[in-house]
Amino acid sequence: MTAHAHHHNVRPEDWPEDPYVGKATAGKVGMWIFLLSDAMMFVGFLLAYGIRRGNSEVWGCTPELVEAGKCLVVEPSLGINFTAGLTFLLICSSVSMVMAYAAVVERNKKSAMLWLGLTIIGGALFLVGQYYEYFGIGHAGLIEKGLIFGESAYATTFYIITSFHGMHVLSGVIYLSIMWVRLSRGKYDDGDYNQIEMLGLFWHFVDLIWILVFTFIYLVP
Amino acid sequence: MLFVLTILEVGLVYLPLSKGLMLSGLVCMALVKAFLVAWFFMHLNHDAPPLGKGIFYSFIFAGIYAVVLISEGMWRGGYFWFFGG
Repeated sequence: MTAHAHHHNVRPEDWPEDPYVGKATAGKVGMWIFLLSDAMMFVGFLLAYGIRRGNSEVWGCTPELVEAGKCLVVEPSLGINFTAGLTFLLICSSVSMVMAYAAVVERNKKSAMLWLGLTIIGGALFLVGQYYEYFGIGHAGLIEKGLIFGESAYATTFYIITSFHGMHVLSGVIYLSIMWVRLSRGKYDDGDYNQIEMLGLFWHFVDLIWILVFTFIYLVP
Repeated sequence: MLFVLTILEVGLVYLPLSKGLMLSGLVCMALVKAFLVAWFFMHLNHDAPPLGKGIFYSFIFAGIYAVVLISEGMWRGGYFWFFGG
């Protein structure tokens, strides 16, 4: 592996076979290690959410609970249908990422740029959706409706987990954009798809985490 | 498949099921979706088995940790909503 590691433009299939990681390049293994540590951060947040929710009698203050004297201020419920739309969007962007990767492997630069561009648009639209959910565009968002960070464990865990994921989407959109520029400049014309595969791993990870966040934060009754 | 499972998940929330049953269904579907993303999109199906195993086993420990800590939190709060109607 070391003999090839000094060359930046070695195609992944030319990478020497390793008994443990096979043909995976050093960059790919490094990305997996980063993603695992990142995943454990999400596990920590989701655990904190689960523990707080598990021992709370009130989770989301409804008008009925205020009337019963169990909490003071009404909190809005989370929009499941709208967020399901965001989930579809992120899954679509994962599919377009797969297509971009396949196009780079086939050395079809034009197609790769198109699919990677669509992935960027998908990620950017997700961020707009999250902004719309928090702050509202043309109508009140969750904050204006009374879901205030620090006011309840329900609100705080919601904002910490969804915004932490949102930061990953933002990082992903920036990462995708940088790679799109590099792709347009012909950096991967020689068939070295290793860096596009690493980018794909990060972007699919963002999708994978959202699948869990969507279920645990939005869907669990 | 991912689209279908997402539709099923959202549909499940509107069904008149007990919390325990609904939670089990939702968690199972979410884990299947997460597995599909990792297996196909993240190419674990093509990677060397030791790499995939190393990744998979990490989450088994995280899962055990989650079950133990959340159960303890529920017990401490005296509110075992998982089994509630």
